[in-house]
Amino acid sequence: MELEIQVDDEVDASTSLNEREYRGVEEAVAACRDLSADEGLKLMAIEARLAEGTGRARTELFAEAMLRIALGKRRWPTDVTFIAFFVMVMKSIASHDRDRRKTENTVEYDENEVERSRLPDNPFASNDENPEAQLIAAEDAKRPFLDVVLEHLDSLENLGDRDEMKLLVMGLDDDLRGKDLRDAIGVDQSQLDYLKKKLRRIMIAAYPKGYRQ
Amino acid sequence: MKNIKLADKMKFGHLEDAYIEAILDASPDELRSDLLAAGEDPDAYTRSALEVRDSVLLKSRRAKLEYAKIAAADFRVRSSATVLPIDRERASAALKSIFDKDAPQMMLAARRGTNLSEADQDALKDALAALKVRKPDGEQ
Repeated sequence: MELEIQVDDEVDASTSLNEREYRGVEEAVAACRDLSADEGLKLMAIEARLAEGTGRARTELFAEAMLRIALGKRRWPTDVTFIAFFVMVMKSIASHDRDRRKTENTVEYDENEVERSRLPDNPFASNDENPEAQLIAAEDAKRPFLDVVLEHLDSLENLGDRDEMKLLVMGLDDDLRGKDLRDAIGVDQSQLDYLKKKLRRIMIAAYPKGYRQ
Repeated sequence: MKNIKLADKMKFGHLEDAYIEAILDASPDELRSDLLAAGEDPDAYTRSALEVRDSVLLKSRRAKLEYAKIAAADFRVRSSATVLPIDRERASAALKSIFDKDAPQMMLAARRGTNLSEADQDALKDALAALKVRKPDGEQ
């Protein structure tokens, strides 16, 4: 696998360098080396969402984040776990990618474009994709995540707790947490936990199945 | 890894952050089950993560080695600019000029009294020739 070491022109963190303490590069490299299979699974599942809109193929965002960490271009704050730090780095890179693409000329999606951009060997999908589904997903990529999820909830047949699920989605998008979130939906904590697990499964299923640009 | 609070939420919607936290909070078995239900291959996720990790760490080691080589070469270039190797002829001339002058006794070998033996002189010349001595500013 060929990797280019990209020039990093970003500030290391949004907070002042004097406000945080950081672990050494070798400690971060050791954490990368000790990454477990389960941690890799989670980071790849998260990368699938974060990479949307960046123009990167699958695994590229993950690889770029790890490379910057291993080279010391991103420093690991002492007050976060390594996995949380890794996600922060991926988010930072993805955020810059998305901003950069907004200022560039965008390519209009059509069926032929989707066909040409389709990855011939998608190691992440166990089923074959049809062109129509890919076209729909490409259109989804341009819409706010909230709209996509709400529409998907509406499309599901026999979805129990539909109203509560939609309230949960909107509450999470409004950054409601804890009691505020429970009150907004009208549920207790155990019901909230059940709804969140169910929503996680729905969101993983809806967005995205493999990565398409 | 439950209840991990991401320290920096940078320009992403809160729903995306909630989605990320939900994945982090899920058990590996729950996540694998969700991925399978979505038609995804969790083994491919894991395999790719570990393969990319190995590739990236190898790449970073090579990059650091190359950087170290460049830094060392640059140091050698900068440090050799003021170094002048001395040869035996020059060393002999320098010693002769010392001996011809009224040199203090401390410069002579104590065991030989007031004079250095020929062997001592040769040894001193060899030692001076082996040293890379920084040339004092303004001197010939």
